[in-house]
Amino acid sequence: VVELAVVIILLIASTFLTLALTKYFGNLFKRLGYVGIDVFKVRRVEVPLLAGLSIPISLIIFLYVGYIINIIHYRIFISLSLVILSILLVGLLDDFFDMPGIYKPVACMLGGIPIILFGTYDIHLSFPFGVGFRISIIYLLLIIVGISVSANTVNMLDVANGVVSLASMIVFITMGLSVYIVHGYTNLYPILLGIFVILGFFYYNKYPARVFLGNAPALVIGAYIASLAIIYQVEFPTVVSMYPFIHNSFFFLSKVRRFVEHKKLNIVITKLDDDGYIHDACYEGAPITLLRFLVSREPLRENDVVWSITILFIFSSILAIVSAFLMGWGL
Amino acid sequence: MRISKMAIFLALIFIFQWVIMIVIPYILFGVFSRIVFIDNVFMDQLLKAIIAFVLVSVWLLEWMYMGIYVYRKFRICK
Repeated sequence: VVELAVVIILLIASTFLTLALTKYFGNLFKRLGYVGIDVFKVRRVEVPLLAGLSIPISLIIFLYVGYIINIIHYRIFISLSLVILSILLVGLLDDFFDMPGIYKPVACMLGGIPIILFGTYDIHLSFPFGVGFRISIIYLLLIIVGISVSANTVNMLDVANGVVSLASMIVFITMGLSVYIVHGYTNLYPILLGIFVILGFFYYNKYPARVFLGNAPALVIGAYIASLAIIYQVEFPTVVSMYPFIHNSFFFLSKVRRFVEHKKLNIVITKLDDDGYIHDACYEGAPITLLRFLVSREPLRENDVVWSITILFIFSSILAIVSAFLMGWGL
Repeated sequence: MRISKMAIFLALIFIFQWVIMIVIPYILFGVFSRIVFIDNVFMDQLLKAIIAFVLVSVWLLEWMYMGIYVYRKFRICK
């Protein structure tokens, strides 16, 4: 009971720290003029970028506190912290310097190395109905590629206010439930920490956003999701819960056929009218991203888009939870 | 707040992809438990990786064509 109370206090404290840090970074970057235009607002307001730096900082601090008071094992603390730091560095370099499109997918592979070095993985990959494979060699490759894919796919869906933070909270909740269903009671502290930390940021990032997440924190969230899926061995349900992320990035890549920054494409995918409705730009050469797909039949306001994407994440999470139940069934 | 009608079609695509995603490991498992027996660990995993890669590629391609078909069928701009 005491341990549970401590965990609850830590989680609430992590939300408040993230709130304070987000406000601090928001004010700092606004003062420094590091702002971006909120493109889906009729009055194109300027919003501070990179305020999501509060997320990796809070995660590392509270993972450390968790380790100090023996809630998590040191190997989990070190591997998760190194994943966060390495991906943060990769993202910050991309945020402040003009890196080529191939840089992020390749550099994010570094994030898989701490998990391999500290052995916080299991080579047994499980699927529904008791199907499983022992893949000692392939799994190492899957860790490296999986972290990079997850980091970049989350970053690519940062298209409307609060989408990434809301979607990732849904994915973390699904992951926590899946771990509980598949493995029974287990220590869910790092997963719950993900939810509570992002909740603090979401307060400022929700529609209409007062701060933007930034590339580096979005990459960190994606890498953190993949790392936890590997550590807790719930890869299958996690991938299912990330279907909208996958749909968005895959449709982008399948059309563009190369790794390139969205802003460098110079293609209009969607456009905003004077009433604040987002339309499909109807340009044949543009990728059918998730946003374009959703507004292709009827124009939507930004908050309708956020709501539609949220519903899709809730739906894919239901499929993920069913998958977790099916993983316990052998035919 | 409104939900996009296209979200409903997308949800149906997700169900379809999910069912196939459950079937793919079954095919792989069936091939390796009934047809192919390899003693060498490296060769066994290499073959598994190649077959899995082909199946996942087919899964993604089919997702892409289904998404493009639905998009073109229901979009306003023709």
